[in-house]
Amino acid sequence: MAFAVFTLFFDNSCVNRPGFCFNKLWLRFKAKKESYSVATTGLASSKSFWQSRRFRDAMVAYAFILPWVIGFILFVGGPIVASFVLSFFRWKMIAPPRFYGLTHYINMVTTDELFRTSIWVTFKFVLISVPIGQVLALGLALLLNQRVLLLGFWRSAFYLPAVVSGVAGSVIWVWMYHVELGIVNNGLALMGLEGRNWLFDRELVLGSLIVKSLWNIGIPMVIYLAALQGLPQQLYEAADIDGAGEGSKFFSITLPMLSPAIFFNVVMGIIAAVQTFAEPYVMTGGGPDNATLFLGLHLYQNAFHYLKMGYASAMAWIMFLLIFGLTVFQFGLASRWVYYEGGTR
Amino acid sequence: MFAGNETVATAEGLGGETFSRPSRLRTLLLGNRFRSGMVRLLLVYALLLFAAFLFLLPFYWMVNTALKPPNQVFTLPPTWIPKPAMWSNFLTAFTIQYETDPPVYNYALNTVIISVNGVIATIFSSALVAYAFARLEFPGKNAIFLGIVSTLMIPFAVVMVPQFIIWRNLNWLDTLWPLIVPHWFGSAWNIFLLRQFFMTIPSEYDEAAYLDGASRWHIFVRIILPLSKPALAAVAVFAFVFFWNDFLGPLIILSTPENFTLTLFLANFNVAYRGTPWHLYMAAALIIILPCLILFFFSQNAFLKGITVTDLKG
Amino acid sequence: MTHSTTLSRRTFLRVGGAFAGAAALAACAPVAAPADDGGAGEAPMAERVTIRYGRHDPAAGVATTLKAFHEEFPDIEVSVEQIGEFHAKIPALAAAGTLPDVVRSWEAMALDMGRNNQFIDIQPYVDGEPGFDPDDFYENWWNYPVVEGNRFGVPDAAAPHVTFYNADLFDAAGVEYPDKNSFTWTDFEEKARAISDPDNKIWGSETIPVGWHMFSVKQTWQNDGSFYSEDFLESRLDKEETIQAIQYWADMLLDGQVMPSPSQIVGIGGAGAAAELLAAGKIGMQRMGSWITGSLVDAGFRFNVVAEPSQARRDTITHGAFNNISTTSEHKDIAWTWLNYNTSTQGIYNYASEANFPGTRRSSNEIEPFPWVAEVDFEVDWDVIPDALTYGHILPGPANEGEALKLIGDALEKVYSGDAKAADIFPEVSPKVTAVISDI
Repeated sequence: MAFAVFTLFFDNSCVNRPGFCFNKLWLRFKAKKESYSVATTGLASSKSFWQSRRFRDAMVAYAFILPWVIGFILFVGGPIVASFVLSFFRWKMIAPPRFYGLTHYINMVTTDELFRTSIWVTFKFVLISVPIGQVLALGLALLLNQRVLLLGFWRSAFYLPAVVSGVAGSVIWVWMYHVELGIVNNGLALMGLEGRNWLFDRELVLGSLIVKSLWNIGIPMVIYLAALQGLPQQLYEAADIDGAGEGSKFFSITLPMLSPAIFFNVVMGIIAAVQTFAEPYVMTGGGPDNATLFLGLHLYQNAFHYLKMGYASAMAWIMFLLIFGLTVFQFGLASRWVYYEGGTR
Repeated sequence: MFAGNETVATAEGLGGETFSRPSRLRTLLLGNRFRSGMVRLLLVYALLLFAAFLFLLPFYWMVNTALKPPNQVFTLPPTWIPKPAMWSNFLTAFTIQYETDPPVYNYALNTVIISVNGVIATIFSSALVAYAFARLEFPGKNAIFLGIVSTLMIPFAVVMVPQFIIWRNLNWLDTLWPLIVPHWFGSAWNIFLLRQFFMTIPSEYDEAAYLDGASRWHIFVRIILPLSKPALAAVAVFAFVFFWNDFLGPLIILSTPENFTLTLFLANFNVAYRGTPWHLYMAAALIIILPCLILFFFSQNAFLKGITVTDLKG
Repeated sequence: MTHSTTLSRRTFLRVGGAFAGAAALAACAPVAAPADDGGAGEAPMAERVTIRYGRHDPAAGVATTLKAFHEEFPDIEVSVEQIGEFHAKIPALAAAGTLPDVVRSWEAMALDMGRNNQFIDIQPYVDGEPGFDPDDFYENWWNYPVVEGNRFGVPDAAAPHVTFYNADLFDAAGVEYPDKNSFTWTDFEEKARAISDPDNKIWGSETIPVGWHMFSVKQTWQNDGSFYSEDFLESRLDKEETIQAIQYWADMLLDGQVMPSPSQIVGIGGAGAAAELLAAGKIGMQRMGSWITGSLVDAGFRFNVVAEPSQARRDTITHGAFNNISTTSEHKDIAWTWLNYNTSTQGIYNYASEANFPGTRRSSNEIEPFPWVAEVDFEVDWDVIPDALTYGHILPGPANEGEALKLIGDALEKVYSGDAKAADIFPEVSPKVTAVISDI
């Protein structure tokens, strides 16, 4: 299922995604490849199979991807299976594991209220921060696409925060949000507004973290910008001839043509947002009143503070399924709104 | 919303170059539709200015605090410009030692080791795999590639606990090895990125070399890699930023202060220095993010071209 | 007593330098010493042996003792490891089988690790140590690390919670100082209220520190309640006295005229910064561990110490640590040599002096200068501090303490913020806590 879904995503969208996926070059390349394979067959037929280029290429290829295969088995595939097995055991690290059956999964839905809280917090964060972040990133990309002076400066300004993600960024924002000494409250005071306790008010705290997350939209912005610059101008010229207004051009040309890039950014954005950890860990510790107890943080605490390794593994699997489900869901929706130029549907 | 007539009408001549070269002032100011152009221009710059102000504000606040003399840190209302600017805060933050904790440059050294190794390892291993997928035909190619891309969906949390057990069994906990070794096995995102790039390189190049008797390895090292500098730069910056900022990995694995990375130091700063000397805290944060900022500034053109490549020659 | 006997043995050891390390110890060490794996037999003769000593705080605290030890036992090298994220890393090291030979652990951890056989029963070593005098330790501390007859550790120093007060603020408000002999919750509240001046950011009392909910247990003790049963297997959160105690302090906190609300000071940080509020001269009284003395010396006001206010009975928290030998140690006898040296009268005194609080040995607390006394040019009732060690409770040590404290802390936060009444929420949380701590 996942594979099929990804076939759709990467094959279609990559062939056709303007800018980001090098549309024209791909087509040019494809044409060349065809002629090339004809040549290859000709060459190969004169030698035995074992000496053929095809066979040798395959061997070389396997040798080249061997590191990844080993790494996958050791650090990803193996651990995933292990974590699934571990999720059926109670393992406190300081005592031998005990079989627990489905208890962990049952506890998750029955007794562990914090698990529900953490799922809800994570969901809210994803549902709010990802769409707003994408709109903002696209907006900035559109601004930058206006042939502005000092493009490098503006672009850097918007991109820079993306290299300050994680702990350092969180630390800066803790200081920004400081009740008495932070620039947010002092800035508001200059405007005659009353400051708030941004990180210690449970009504506000998730919003504060979302605002912080909007500061880190450099990567999607750059991807949008590139996609915008790869848009075929003929379409706009044709629209101009038809006398289309700016709004209609945006909605009927720009947005559809950008949809593969939007789709890509949304998928990647959600995958990252579901795993949010450093921000709540550094900025709030999950509080106040568990208002920022993200799934990633709850999981970490269970594993390394409460030493419930088995339970943490079970939760990690739920996180995996969550990401998987959200991705599949988006692929389901994608056929309705993602436009693949020259695509099969 | 902002993509409109003027831009579109004249953008054709600029083609893909808009990205790196700002257009000429004259064209902008004396365009055909002068009046609506001006209004639009003002709006664009006003919005840019406003957004840039918001995006740079945290940096200003950090630098402002980092330069304050200790006695100004807690004054209300806060001083907007530190007077006098205490440049020595940076030195203090970098050499300060909490009791018997190692000095900060010790954490920096660990972080540099992890990051530099990470960049080299990621580039090398990912490029190798990406090349196989971009250029070679072999049974199972598509399935394996999709497998790689699918791993992007796997959260670190799922593999965190079993990996921890692996390190434990290797007796590698509280060493840098777990933060060094795994990166020599390729990373999905970078494999994907590089494969996309490699596919844009005309295959005539390798074909010619191949017919001259060059091995695949030779082609990879002598032709593909040199032609891929922008993409490699992008991967290098991504990887560096990732490793430099990595937190959860070191948090789980490292326990003695001698082995800490900068992010762990920063996250523990509050606890270690009771009561938080914010000026030093911000100075430390600034020092810590500086390499990433510098790296971005010096590589931004190559880097941005790498992720957004539209033209091979670029 | 203990002091001199130990010394003579050391002298003996020094003379017989060639027999240092395990061999010599085996000679001194008793028949009762466990004849298990890491036994004396396999330890190499006259070869320098390194043992690891893990603790959560910097090595500076034991530097003096370490130096003396290395001079006395040139063939034993003690390498001190400071372990960050202590509560997570110690179990991880245990799981890896790479615990340091000697671990200095807090209350709950010592018991939990002991219950799970990560620390050895050291009673045989104690019994076999010539001149070892258990009666020198305060009884509560000596008897704490014992589960089902197995002794898992030897205590070193401990800080009791007492009330520090800013005498200058009392004078300014014209309030009488707390009475040494009778200081009740009611007295505390009245005095705090009289000192408070919220408009000028002056408060009668420090707030209840957010995130340090393990400390709230002292209020329940003072009211004859508790978080847990004596054996730590059952929750006592639903007990009338527990609920009353929590609610009483929550009301005081929510009143707004006694303590700053958590949100009023929380922006500055946790309890570490809270100590700064007292040091900054902004609060009248602070109930806190005696370790904060150091921060007050240069504060520029007169301060004094009185016991924690009491209700049903006089009680307080004493918080310290135990030295334990790990099951996986390959040099248990040598580990004991170091452990015993480090928890000797002089060893405890050395550490206590560094940390500014009393030791758990009576004899350590007789050595001058007293560790808990800071040099100031005004009168302070310093005796209050070691005295509190004799009546205070040691922090509780249930299994799965981290998870239990999360449940309790969340409930407390609701009560302290006024969102819930203790009477409603504690009976609800209590069975959950029991389920967690009884799951050994």
